Amino acid sequence: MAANAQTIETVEGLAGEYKYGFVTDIESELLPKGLSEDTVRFISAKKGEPQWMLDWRLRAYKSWLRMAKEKGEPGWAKVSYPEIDFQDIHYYSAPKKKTLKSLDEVDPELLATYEKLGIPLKEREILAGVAVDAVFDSVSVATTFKGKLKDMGIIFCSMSEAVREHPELVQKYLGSVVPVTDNFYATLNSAVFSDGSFVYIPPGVRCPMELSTYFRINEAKTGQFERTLLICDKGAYVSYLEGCTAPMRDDNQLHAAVVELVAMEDAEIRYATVQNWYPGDKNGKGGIYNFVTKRGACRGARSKISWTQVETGSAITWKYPSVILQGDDSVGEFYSVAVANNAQQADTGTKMIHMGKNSKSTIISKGISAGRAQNTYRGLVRVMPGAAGARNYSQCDSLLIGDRCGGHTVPYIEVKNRSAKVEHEATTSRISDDQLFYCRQRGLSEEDAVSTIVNGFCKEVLQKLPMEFAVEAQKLLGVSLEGSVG
Amino acid sequence: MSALPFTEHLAGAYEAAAGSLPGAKDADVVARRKAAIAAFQRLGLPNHKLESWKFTGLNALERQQWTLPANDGSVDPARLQAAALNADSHRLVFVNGRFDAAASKIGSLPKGATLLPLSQAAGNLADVLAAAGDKREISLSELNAALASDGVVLLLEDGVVLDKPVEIISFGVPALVNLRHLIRLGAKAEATVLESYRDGGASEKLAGWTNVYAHVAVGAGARLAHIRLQAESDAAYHAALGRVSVGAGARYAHVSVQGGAALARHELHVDFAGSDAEVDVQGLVLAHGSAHLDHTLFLHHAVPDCRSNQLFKHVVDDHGHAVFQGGIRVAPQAQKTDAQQLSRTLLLADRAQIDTKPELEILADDVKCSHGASIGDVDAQQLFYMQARGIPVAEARRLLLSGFAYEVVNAVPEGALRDHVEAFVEGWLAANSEKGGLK
Repeated sequence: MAANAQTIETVEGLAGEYKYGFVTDIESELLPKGLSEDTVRFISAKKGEPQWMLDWRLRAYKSWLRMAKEKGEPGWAKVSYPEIDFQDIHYYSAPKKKTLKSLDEVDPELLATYEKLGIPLKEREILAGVAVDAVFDSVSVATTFKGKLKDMGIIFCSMSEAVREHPELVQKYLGSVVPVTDNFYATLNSAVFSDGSFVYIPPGVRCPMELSTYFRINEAKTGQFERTLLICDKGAYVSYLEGCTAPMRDDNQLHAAVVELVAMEDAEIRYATVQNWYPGDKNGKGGIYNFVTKRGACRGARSKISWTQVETGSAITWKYPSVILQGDDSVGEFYSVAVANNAQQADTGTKMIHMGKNSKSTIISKGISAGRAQNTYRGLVRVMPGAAGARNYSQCDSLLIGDRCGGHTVPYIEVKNRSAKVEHEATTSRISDDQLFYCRQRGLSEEDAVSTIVNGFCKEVLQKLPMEFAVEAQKLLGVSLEGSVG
Repeated sequence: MSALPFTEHLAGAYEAAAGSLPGAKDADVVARRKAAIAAFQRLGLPNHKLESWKFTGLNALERQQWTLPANDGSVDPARLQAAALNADSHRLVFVNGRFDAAASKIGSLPKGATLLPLSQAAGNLADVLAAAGDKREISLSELNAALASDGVVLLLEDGVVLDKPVEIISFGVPALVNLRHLIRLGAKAEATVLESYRDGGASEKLAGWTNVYAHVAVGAGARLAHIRLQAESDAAYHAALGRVSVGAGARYAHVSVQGGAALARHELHVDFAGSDAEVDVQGLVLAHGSAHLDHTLFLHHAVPDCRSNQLFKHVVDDHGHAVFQGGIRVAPQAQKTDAQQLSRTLLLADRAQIDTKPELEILADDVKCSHGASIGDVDAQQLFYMQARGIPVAEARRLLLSGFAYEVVNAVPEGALRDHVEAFVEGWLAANSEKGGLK
């Protein structure tokens, strides 16, 4: 896949302008800007939620007010942005996207990017916002799948639907991993969350397919405050994919999502994310603020939760997918690639809290900075006194491309048990001239050489992605870093 | 116990003692001390909410009404003998926070060398008392500036080489002792400095608090070996802040061994002031009982082509708590930096704990930076190997611990100095092993 000069220019052009990232010509039902108790009540009413859900939201809203008054936004992460005016945000919009009739109406530059990423034609249409015709009706496809899942007892639906249809499950698990008052953004999310996915896998069931948000791509957009709850009962297994490699159009600047995972005895959850939201222009103007709280609880013995993420988009990423290892012999994994180019800022990492005996965790984090970007790994490994025989291995490597970017590492390690074994390694380096020369000598263009080297650097993480994602993610890394060398 | 808040109580102690502190007749010095105590009152003690104090709290200090030590005192000769280096040295002994001329032995110095207790260095006082910075994180250094009753001033002119080590011994007493040192080496000067903080033995039960501030400047091409041995009584509190600047082509080697005190923190800030400099900082923590021992470092690579190495080892027994925070900052212009860091810990008891936080902030791309941390118990396979060869388990453990510690001891310059540090480490291991610890 040789990148010729023209495509590079095209993509650079996209990075510079990305004008299709922020279309505002949407007809939608907008709630006026601002956040108050009425906003919360309105959102709840709009979704036809029962009283308990509204009470839950209001409790969160009150806590958030207190947090905002006492401390304000958390300031410890290594990111800087102007203060967010929370009264200057729309908290509810029921979008009715203006749809295009065919791909011919879509900007050719955007199509070129899809082409480079190797996204199937039909998916391109959906991503570009083209009305989906009868040939590829994802609704019907989704319905077919849903039927199959339903037969197995698997619940996979939107959060709003779950609140209506499965209140007992939602009440039991919602907020049980990420408490309402967990942190500023999680609390805000709890008050005003728009929608998200709900998954329940019954005991002993192995989910036969990768669950993906793709299925719901043409349902109502989940909006900026997404809430996901995934429960894997005893002995069950599920693999969940979130996001997609294509640049996503989005109209909201602030995103504060919450994802909660619960794994019971012998259950296994694999959660993969590819995030490529609008990163802003070359000078960091615009772009998404992505403040996400993701946490999984390994409740039962021998349960396993694995996070894999490829983060290339967003102006600011603030995200620490964590695992609370409560069960004995439980396993937590975190594989991450975070790319920050131009003026992007990423502060990401994980927390592994060992409580159960012989619990194990692995952390592999690869941070790549280019341009003027700042990329921070911030992680915590905590071994509680009861976690005898706990084991952790962490590795976080940073790759710097260019002399104006920064790569930072802040791992916290707190061990309160003597039988624990904890190891941590970290390196920072750059692409050496030798490596580049070697590739160039063999006829690779500079861009391809960088892409090859970076993919090698990230190999351990990319291997953990589900097949179809892995291929796209590799290309994505190349595209994200184009224009960063030379 | 009066109900005066901590900072006000200390301000009162300053007022009472002001007349008897060095430089009490020099208006500039008095003004500086007044400003320092005011700054301390304004800033307050560092607390958990500050990121660099996340793991170490000073509440225990706040619970006591500290007094300043009496003006006279002497040390038991046997105790001095045990604490002193078994070799020729330029020795300065401090008892009750005051220079003890009888126990000291500065000896003859080469031309261009100045070595004095602070109390006799009137001309350098303003220099020594200069502020380290106006931040709550380092507010103890302002308390120190206000109350410093003595310390060491070592100044070497360009090219001066001290053959014998400078030995600084302070004996802790059940009071608040403030020592302030200034060590300044001119271009191509060379020196070795050993700072020892020892149990004064005046009272085993009462806790003392030694608060030390050291300013170290290593000139271009100069070499300084700086060894620090913190062996206070198990009830004592010890807080030390070191500010080091390292000139072009200079070498600064620091070894910090902490094997005493109930609560101790040694914080070291190193600034690279010239290119091609080399800094090697190594530390050994031996924590038993309920000791809380903290090493906090900030290495600031501000210029290109410098090398730094950090190796910290922790042996934690009983309810001990070790803390290691190793900050490295590589500025955008500091290309070709080579910064390595390694922290290793052996937890020997169920309630022993360690908190480590390496912090790498790297803003230049052509650098080699790495850090590592490992935490665990003594390796079962290694123990088995030795037992299989007929070595009793207790001895095998002690041998493994000696070997673990020796890597850091080995960084001390060879000869009497290394023997001295090794004897302390072996003594600590033997004493704890006999008591039934280290299992």
